[in-house]
Amino acid sequence: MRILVVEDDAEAAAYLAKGLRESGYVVDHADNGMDGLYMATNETYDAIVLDRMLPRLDGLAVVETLRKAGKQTPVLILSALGEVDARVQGLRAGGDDYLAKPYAFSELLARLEALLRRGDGPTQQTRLQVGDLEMDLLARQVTRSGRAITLQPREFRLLEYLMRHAGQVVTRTMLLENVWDYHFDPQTNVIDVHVSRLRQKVDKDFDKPLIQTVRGAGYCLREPD
Amino acid sequence: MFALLSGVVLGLVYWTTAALIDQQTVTAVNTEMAGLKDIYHRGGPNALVSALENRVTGYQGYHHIYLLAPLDGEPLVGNLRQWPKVEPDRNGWMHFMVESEIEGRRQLWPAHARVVHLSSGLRLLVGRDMTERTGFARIMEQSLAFALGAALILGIIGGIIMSRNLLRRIDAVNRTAQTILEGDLSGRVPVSGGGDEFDRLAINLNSMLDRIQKLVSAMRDVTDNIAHDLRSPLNRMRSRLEITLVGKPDLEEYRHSLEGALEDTDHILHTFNALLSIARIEGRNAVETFAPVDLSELAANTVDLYEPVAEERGQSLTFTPPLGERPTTVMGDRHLLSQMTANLVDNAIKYTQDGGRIEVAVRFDATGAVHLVVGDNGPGIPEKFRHSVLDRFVRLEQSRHTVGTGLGLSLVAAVADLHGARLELSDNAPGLRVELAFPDRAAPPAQAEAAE
Repeated sequence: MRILVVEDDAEAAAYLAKGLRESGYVVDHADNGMDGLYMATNETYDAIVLDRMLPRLDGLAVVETLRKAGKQTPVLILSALGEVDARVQGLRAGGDDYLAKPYAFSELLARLEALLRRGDGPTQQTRLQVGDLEMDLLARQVTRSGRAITLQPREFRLLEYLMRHAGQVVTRTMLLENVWDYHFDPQTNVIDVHVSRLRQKVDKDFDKPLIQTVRGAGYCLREPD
Repeated sequence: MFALLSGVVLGLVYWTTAALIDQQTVTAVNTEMAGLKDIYHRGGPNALVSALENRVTGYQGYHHIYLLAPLDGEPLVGNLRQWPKVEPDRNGWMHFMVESEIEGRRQLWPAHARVVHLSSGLRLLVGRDMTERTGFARIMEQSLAFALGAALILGIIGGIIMSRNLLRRIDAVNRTAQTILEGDLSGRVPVSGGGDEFDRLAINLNSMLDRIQKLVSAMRDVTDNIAHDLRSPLNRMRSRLEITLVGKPDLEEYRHSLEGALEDTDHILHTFNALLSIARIEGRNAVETFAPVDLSELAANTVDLYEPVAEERGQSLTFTPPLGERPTTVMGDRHLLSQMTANLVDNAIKYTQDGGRIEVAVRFDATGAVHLVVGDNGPGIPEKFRHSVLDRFVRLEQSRHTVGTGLGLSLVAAVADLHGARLELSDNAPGLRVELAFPDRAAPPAQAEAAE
């Protein structure tokens, strides 16, 4: 997987590149908007991590130009502007996700993976399956090893999100944003409590736990090795 | 300006009065002339001569002037010694000076007369002494000159006083500006109380300064608070890292220390973000981003999010919507309102004992305004602290052991303020009851502010 990092802060870019390389990505770096746009249009990347405030060409302009040129490379925008309005602007310009600085690297990694996998598989699925856990999206039913599991609507949506991102790390912020549409950090471990409730229903009576806690990052739904 | 105006007024008085006198003279002379012509036509020259003689002897003095003379001869009758050496104008009017001896003194006085040629080669002059008019004119001229002079002097004095007053007041503004430039933001422009433009300027400048001072002190508070609240975790992190380096730690210890440092960083960032968002909310007046938000739905969602957390502590968390079908829509920023509600519920769960009760409700008051209520049966807040808990970083001693930035309620206050909602903390007997009264939907806060 090849990632383009467009970030003018050399040190931040170096850390980011190092972290991504250690996670198994091939990383290219541009330190201004013009070079970033040039590289993004002339090379093929699987995803772009784009700082919003860049010298020579603003991050939003880079995305806009890229999209007008027909490039659909997933773009994760990084910005010091964390407000919801700024986020909406970023997504409207053509960004696929938006992460406010300062961010945790694990958060960035999780979101990047979500972007990279998004292209996989049919989007209009009616059934999701992870191991012996099955979800029927039309009948809104969940079974594990053929046994029915009763879920509250919110628990259903939480599990659906985890199943759609099976095998990926999903952070608490991602869950808050996508399941609850909350764009702030509620301090308290609300998400942990919800997940542990879900675990009670999905994992408790079975040998192999599917919902796994990823330390310092979030959760991951996958079949244990 | 004043002098010019009074000059014009006096000039006008002079001119109209003079015109009136002239008009009267002309009318009198014309009437008399007509009478005399009538006598001449009926009785011939002799009748005219006798009539004139009567008049000349009848009027002692020279106010009335009569003279009858052949075209090129000595005067027949009249009280002028000779025909005036002046050419009459088209209508027979002439102005001339009469020389006479009154009480042994030679005098020159002005006269105004009309000449008519009669059919028998005679010419008749009827006129008036214009001394009075000239005298009047002189008096008028003198008083005019005097008035003008007085007006000029008064004007100059008034001007000097006014401009000195003006300069004095401008100087007051300048001095205030100077005070502020020197760093003392408490300086204000004095208001004289006269309610004139200068006062209005002073009042506006002062309220502008009030606002600036408030903003600056709010900013200073933020800085102080950042320094206060970030210094300790920063210091803790520093010591942690330093002490780890001093010893001869193994890998596990390094790992432990780094994880601790990461946790500290998260805490610092969280506090920092909370401060920034409060400052942003307070500095914001972009009410145009407001959209209708269903308060009931929002509250229900928040309760849904926190319900498991409350359950974990054996607390009951319930939501009660208002009775009836009335929509509970308010104009607002959905994300901020969510965050605010979440903060209130979060606080209630945090500060209420295990097994406690937390109730969230949306209701209408008598005026039809929508209220959001979060009540608990926890320890509550003593009345004397209820106001101060809305300030940043104020955490009651009893709550020091719980986790948090101490910014929750100040964020609530800031969001409430942005939405023009009234925030009220009261005794839930027992516990704390937080109630937010939203303004009527018909008047979103932006318009209410503009109407003020």
